[in-house]
Amino acid sequence: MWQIFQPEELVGKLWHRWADRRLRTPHFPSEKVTFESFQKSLGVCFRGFGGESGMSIAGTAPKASGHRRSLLDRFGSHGDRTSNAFLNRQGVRLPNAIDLFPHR
Amino acid sequence: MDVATVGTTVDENLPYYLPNGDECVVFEAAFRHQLPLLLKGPTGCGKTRFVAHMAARMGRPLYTVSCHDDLTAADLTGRFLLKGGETIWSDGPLTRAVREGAICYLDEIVEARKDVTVVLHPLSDDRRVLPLERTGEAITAPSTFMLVASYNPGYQNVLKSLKPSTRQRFLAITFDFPPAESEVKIVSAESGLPLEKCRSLVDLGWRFRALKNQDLDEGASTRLLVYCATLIRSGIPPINAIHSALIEPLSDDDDVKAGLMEIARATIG
Ligand SMILES: Nc1ncnc2c1ncn2[C@@H]1O[C@H](COP(=O)(O)OP(=O)(O)OP(=O)(O)O)[C@@H](O)[C@H]1O
Ligand SMILES: [Mg+2]
Repeated sequence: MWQIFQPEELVGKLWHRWADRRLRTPHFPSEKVTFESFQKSLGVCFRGFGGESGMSIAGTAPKASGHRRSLLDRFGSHGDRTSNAFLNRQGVRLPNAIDLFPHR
Repeated sequence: MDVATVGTTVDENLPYYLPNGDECVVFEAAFRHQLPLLLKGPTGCGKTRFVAHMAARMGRPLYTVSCHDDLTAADLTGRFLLKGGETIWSDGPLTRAVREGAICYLDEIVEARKDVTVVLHPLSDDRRVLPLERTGEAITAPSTFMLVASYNPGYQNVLKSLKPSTRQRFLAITFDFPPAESEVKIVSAESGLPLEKCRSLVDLGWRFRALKNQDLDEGASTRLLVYCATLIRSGIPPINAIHSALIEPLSDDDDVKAGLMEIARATIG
């Protein structure tokens, strides 16, 4: 109750909680889909849609994200760790696992 | 009708064959000059249909023999059979074709046993003679006899390739899947499914062919595309038709089949 009388602290706490909630991406571990279980069919699709046959398709582990965080993001305490899909000369890299969707 | 073109005009009643190059011209020249012909190409790309079409066009009967690893020279030339206590000679399909001046088509010739080449050699060079060892007869082939053989260079192992001395007795034509626009016409003509619907199937067929040697042993043949279109024409939902005609026949691997199904869904919509 007496927090009311310490406005800076209250505002700081609320702010932190709000920013953090906006930032944190929900995860659904029970609905996790692994790259490994799809590796072969993904390769078939990749080539069937015109991908070069010599290219490798592999998983990538999450990395601390290098993207610039917005002003809002910088207030949150969580550093982002993301798995990015990308294509380079060696081949296609896809996240080792995705658990961002509520249903598989 | 121009007199000079008689014999090369395409009659409505011939087995349907849409040419992809100069194969009809080469066949006809080979026939006229009594030269044997070898057709190379993947399964289901039109080799058998081509021979049926050309035999009809040349007005000759066609004897087709599917070669397999138990096929001996006697299966082609003939043998003595016991009939009511008597032994009677019975001509094999090759001998019959030679006597009648017909076209003899040896499908998948590399599968045949080695002794088969012994009877083919004198018949396929300029001697044009079929020696029948068992009866002592040597039949000279009439000018309308033609030997045609086929094989699929794709899945033959080294042991089963043709000997140079056999190959070099034949003219040869390489067959491949028809260019997309021709294949659309073929699939539509064979199945009765409208051209637009066949176009997306042919497109899918080419996507599957791109997977040959890595995910699939052989790409989808024209034959399978015709099967698929026939199922769709009969009212089976396209995705089910594709599953039975273009996916299950191509692979036994569940992951590969799942990938093919995704490609099919995206292509056919
Ligand atoms: N150029 C073409 N014109 C008409 N029909 C064709 C043509 N190419 C393929 N087809 C169709 O494809 C089907 C399969 O062709 P076919 O039986 O001749 O194949 P193949 O090359 O002899 O195969 P295999 O090596 O397996 O014997 C035919 O029944 C026909 O419907
Ligand atoms: Mg055939």
